[in-house]
Formats: sequence, structure tokens, C-alpha cells
Amino acid sequence: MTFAWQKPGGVFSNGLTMPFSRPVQGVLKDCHFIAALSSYAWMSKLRPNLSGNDGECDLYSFSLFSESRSPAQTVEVSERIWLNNSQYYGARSSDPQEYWPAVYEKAYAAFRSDQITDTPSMKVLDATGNPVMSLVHLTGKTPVFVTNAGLTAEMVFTRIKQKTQGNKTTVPMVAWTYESENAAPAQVIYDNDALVANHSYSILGIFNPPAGGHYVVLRNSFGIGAGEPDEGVAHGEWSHAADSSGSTRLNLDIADGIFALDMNLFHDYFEAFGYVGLH
Amino acid sequence: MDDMRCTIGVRNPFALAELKENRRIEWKELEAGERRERLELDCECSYDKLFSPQSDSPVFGLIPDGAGRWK
Repeated sequence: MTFAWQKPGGVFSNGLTMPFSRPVQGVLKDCHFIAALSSYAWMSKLRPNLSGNDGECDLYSFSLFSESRSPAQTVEVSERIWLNNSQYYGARSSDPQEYWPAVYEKAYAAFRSDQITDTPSMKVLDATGNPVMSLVHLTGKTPVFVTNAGLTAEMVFTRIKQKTQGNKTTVPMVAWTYESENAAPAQVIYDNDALVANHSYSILGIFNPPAGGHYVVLRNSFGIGAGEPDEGVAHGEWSHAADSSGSTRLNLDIADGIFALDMNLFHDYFEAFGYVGLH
Repeated sequence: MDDMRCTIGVRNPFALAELKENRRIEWKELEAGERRERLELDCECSYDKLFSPQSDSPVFGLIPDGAGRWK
């Protein structure tokens, strides 16, 4: 298996748009970055900055921030990504006709390694992190995080609800699970791909289905699902305030990695959640 | 923010399976049960053990440097 920097096709499939549902994590341990990128795209109509051409490939520039309120650093990279023919290593898009998440991830790798290069070591992203810090890197905004332990499930749900309007989050929001079952105060079992230990998720909003209950709507950076808990997951159509694409409805389908989790399970299985503010 | 844990990170098992097979897998064309079976086969780990670090799961393991070498 031989990987090299290659251009697999079109960076964008449907105009110069970057929808929240497209970033899918690869084999690197950067779920914190992919979850943050999806949350950022959920809140903002992200547009690429086509900044030039090196004679063979288009160049894109991305603004990234070392910490909140710091000046933006502009990282310019080409559309070449780390591939083995058509096989991806890192991030890819849920739409096989495009690959802009891989270009964004390459820019993030260059940023994290302080390298002004078009060929950064992608292994710099094979490192743990925190999705709120990744949100800071993407937005430069002030981070806030809330730990679930010590709060009731109702209190956690209320804190999330306070940052929603029309069921949809009003700020880019993420969450993360406990490092292991032993680290969780409640008895939990991480035995399906919807609830993975030490993993990062995007929070899209809240769901109060007609049948009752209070749920947190999550997106798994895996971008696909194969299983879910026996209880505590709501399905169906979720109505929400318009997202960055103007859509107001979403089918809660574990097959897309998007699901609504009962607030009690969210409280027990997730260590914390966080967001970046407006300042 | 000093007490915000920065040790969060797992690998995507679906991406690991594609790396193992060295091709894109059309996951949505498979039933959920078939997806689970494919993950077990490619990741060499029972499905219910894949998502906890208390097992020997490649989701939490070292980076694969080639097809079929997870650890």
C-alpha cells in the first residue's frame, strides 16, 4: 500500500459549499477536529477561499486560530491530499464525488505542526485533543464547557436548550464521552458505534418528540452507523430552525450517524459538552 | 480551560475497514447487521468490543501502517 499526495477529482461536487453532513473522519484520531468542523458548518455557511493555482492544482486558504481572540493565521494548501490511488487515509466526504474535508484537514495538519508546507505529516493529527479546542482553532471564539457530572440530566438538557432556538443550536457545540466505562460515574457500556468511549460528537440541537421525552440531537464524526442502544434513541423527522443551507427538517437516521439520544443517556455516557461563544 | 480534558480521540472503524480492504465500501447499501459483520471481519474484533478501550480494539490502538496491520 503506497500513499502519496494526489488529486483524486473535484474538491466540491455541488458548488462551493461545505455542508455540515459531509465531513467524515478517517483512520486518524482527530474526531475532535471532524466533530468541530461539522458543528461549525452547521452554524455557518462556510465557503472556501480559492486563493490561487500552482500550475497544476488550485490552492485554498483557511483561517485558523491558535487560541481564542488571537489573530487568524492563514494557511494555504493545494487540493492534493494523502491517498493510495482512490483510497483515503484521513478525512473524506460523505459525498464520494467531492473531498473538501480532506483539504481542510490538511490545512489543519499544517497549522498544528507549525509547518508552512503543502505536504504536512498527517500523523500530527493522529493525536488526541478536545473538540472545544478544535472549535477555538476553527473560529477564534471564546470557549465554554460544561461537565455533566454533578448536574442532573434535566440541568444538562436545560443548559443545552438555552443555546438553542427552534430546536437548533445557536452556537457551534460539541460533546465528548468518558475515557472508559470505569471513568464514568454511572454504570455505562460502550458497546455500539453510536456510543463510543473517548469520542467526540457534534451537537445539532434538541428534540422533544410527540411521544414524549427530551433528546439531544448528535452527529457522529464516523458519518455512518451500524448499531445503537436498545433504548433511548428517537427516530423520525426532526424539525428545526433553518440551518446554513436553509433546510428545516432532518431525518434522524443512525445510518447517517445522526441520532437523537435521550437526555438521561446523554448525561450518563457523555463527560461534557462545550461550545464557542460569540466574542 | 485548564481542566478541559485533551486526551479525546478514537479512530473511525468504518475507515479502518476501508483501509483494510483498500477500497471504498458503500456502507449504506448494506443492512445494519451486514455493516456490523463487516466491521468485525475487517477490524478483527467482535462488534460489541470495538468501542471500549478496555478491549483490544483497533479503534483505540496504534495507527495502521498498511492493510491488515492494526497493532
